[in-house]
Amino acid sequence: MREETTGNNPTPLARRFLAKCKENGFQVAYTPSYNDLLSVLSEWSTGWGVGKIVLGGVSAGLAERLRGALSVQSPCEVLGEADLEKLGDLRAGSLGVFRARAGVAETGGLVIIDDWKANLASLIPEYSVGLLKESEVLPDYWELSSLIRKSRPAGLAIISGPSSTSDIELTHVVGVHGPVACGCVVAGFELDE
Amino acid sequence: MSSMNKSKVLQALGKRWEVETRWRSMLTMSQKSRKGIEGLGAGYLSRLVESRQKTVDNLERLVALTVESVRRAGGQVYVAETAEDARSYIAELAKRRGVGYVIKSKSMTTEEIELNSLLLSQGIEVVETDLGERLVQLAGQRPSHIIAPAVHLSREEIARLVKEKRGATVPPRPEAITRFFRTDLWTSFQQAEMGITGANLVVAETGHVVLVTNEGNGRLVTTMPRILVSVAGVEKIVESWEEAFNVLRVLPVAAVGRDATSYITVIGPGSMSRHASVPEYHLVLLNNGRLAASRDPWLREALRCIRCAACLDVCPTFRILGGHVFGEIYTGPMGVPWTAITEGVEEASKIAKYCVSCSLCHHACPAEIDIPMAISWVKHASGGGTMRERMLTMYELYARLGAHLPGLFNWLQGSRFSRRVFENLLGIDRHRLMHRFRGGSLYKVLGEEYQRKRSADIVYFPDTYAAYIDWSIGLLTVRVLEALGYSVAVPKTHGSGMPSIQYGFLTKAKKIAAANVERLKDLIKDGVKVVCTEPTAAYCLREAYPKILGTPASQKVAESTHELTSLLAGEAQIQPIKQNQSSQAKVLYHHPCHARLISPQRPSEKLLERIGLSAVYIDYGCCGIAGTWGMRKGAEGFLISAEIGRRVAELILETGCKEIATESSVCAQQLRQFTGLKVRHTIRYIAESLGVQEQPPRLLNF
Ligand code: SF4
Ligand code: SF4
Repeated sequence: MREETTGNNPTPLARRFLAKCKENGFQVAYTPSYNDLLSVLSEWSTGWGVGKIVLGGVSAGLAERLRGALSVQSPCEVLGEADLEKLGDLRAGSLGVFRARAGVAETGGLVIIDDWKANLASLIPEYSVGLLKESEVLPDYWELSSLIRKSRPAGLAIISGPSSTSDIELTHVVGVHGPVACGCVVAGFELDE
Repeated sequence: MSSMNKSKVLQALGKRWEVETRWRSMLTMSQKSRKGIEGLGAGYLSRLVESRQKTVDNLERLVALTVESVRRAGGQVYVAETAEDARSYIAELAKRRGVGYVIKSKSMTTEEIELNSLLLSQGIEVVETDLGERLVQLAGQRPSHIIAPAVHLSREEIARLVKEKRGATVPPRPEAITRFFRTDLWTSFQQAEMGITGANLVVAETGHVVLVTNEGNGRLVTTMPRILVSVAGVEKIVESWEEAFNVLRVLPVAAVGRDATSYITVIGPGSMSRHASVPEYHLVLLNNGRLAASRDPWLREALRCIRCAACLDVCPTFRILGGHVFGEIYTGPMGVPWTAITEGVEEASKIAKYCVSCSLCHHACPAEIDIPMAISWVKHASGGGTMRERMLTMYELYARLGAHLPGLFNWLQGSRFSRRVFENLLGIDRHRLMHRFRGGSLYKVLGEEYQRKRSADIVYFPDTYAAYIDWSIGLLTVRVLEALGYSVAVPKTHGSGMPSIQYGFLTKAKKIAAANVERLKDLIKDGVKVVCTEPTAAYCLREAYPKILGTPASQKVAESTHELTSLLAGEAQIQPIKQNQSSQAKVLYHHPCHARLISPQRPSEKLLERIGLSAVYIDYGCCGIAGTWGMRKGAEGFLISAEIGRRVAELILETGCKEIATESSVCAQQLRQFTGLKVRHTIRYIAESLGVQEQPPRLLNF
């Protein structure tokens, strides 16, 4: 359920993470169960007026369940090789749901590690939502250093808010090249079924 | 070496919208940055400085380590000695791969190597994808600010540009314009065969390049094309990921006062892309003067730069003139040492003249780079200042003569005719309000005894104003210190020599510094403190002299030097001003630029509060006089100084304060002229609270 109404509370670290993400411009939620996650995703996509959903880097089991459930509302697909030549179709009115592998509490960011599907789902669509497990929230960047050293990824992305610019008269505008709005969900249940 | 370019200055001042917008924008950005940095805590900053210094000390080793890491990961690395080498490598690569369309994410290093022009000359289309950079590219200009490249363009100008260059009609609203470029540039992202990025950092242990962005163009540039090239100055290398995060944690805070930017993108061979992983990856590491600079005592600190732009936003002349005047490829304060590193001192000297040595950039810089001293050195190394500037270094002689002949000098300063003569001969603007001379010197008023004292708790360094223009501040300081139980010596010293530092006469500055250090060094045994009432003097003794002289004695003097009010802040005897003594309830405290490095906590403001006044402080930065610079004729000083002075005065007057407290004699001159308010040295309020009588009681200047 959403932050305010949950009966099952996040850990203090996850709470700190969500608060910081919110400050950075994310919509945030803590979902103790799969059903909570589903209702958050459908509520947000309705709110944004999303016409299409793509899942990137989400485990096969979860993707299957989400696809089944969310398709009732709008077409929902798992991002695959076939989509690479028609990424333009995802630009307007779509939502990318991606699996992040870490969160950084001190600065409020979602981390994608070596996952090109998650990378595209978090970048190309007009809206994006990152999912991560409560146990994946790290206190700060320096904890991430150890993770990087251990996993030796080829690349990563830390996302700390919607795409934005202040290049015209220093006026803050969201949604330049990346998502116009983004969400962050911390799951209190096992995501990688 | 010449002084400020008159026609360029006048042209810049003529663009009223730009001046106004830039001043307001830079003011807001600098306030956000300062607030963020203050909230961050010292630990983060010292870790940043340590990490960056480690790079400077180990540059060659780190280049070798990076080369090894990138190759191990399957990428190609090219170490370019010169800008020419770097751009040829990329142009050749594009040719070999048959590339006809290139997209770029924001990169100052590719501006430095002038890559775009070479690619265009080979018939390759190059599209900048950062919104600001794209606007500047379409306008055929160069960026005017390192992180806000198009800050000089108004929304109307941009809408016209879109019509003219992209053939589209967009309403002049930032949202609509941004929306247009979201679609317009998407075509470029899809079409491009090669992506070129800069680098905020290169991590040697793994060979990764780190990009810090907000718009997401950096992510698309590294995701869409099949060939990816990153160009990085060798100083961007850090050894480990811990060090990378020491920088990444501070960078957005210093830049915009936020803990994080929207995106940190980490790329390298095989990193994420729409081709699953990047098929071909090249890293170009650029030397172009950096290795030599790492061995240069005046320039090596600048290699710590993290390109946050905090120095640009506080710089008083940059706020007015902007990066098209104060800058070449690298703009504003950091632009001077960086132009010296990459293009040599002669080129750097062309923009060094826009620095007025206020030192605010040094205070704002999270990497603690002493930019003003590097700039003074550039001025010195390129031959020093102009003849008129040399004359200004004789300011103390003028003050001494004025002390002997106050009637004549006060009359000369008041007469229209002589002001015109001063303007033509000395280049002192006739509109500048000048301080009046009280007559006599502090040394004379105090008598020989104070000069000869060999042992005292405090050695007072009055500097030129309190010694020769108005000794009452000096006398009051000595009496206040004595009332608090200190014994005070006042040895005869030279003025601090700031004009020589400011205008790049470092040989003369060295002589003055050596003489002052020689005079002070034997008096400061066993914890004796040197106390200054003029913040510029404290700045010179503490910051500039050790750098100019580099001797143990100058270091010792530096460590013993305090600004008067930071010493007084620890005095419990200072209590509220008694009832019915003359005082204003609400006083604006003006924190002089040179005091910021010495007493960043604003002890004066706290003292004013302690004695029962309500002190109001606004972080507007420099008041715009910067010593003798703001007195200089027209476009060489006074016109710019007045632009700043009027804006600062507006902010001060809005507070409703009727009086201003400060410590700098020149700031007082500027504030009196533009606010019309009474300005008093903070010591006068403290003296009042302690019941120490002013002698003589009449306020002459401040
Ligand atoms: S010392 Fe002052 S005037 Fe000079 S570059 Fe730095 S901020 Fe600008
Ligand atoms: S010199 Fe310092 S303040 Fe200026 S951009 Fe570099 S790091 Fe930032």
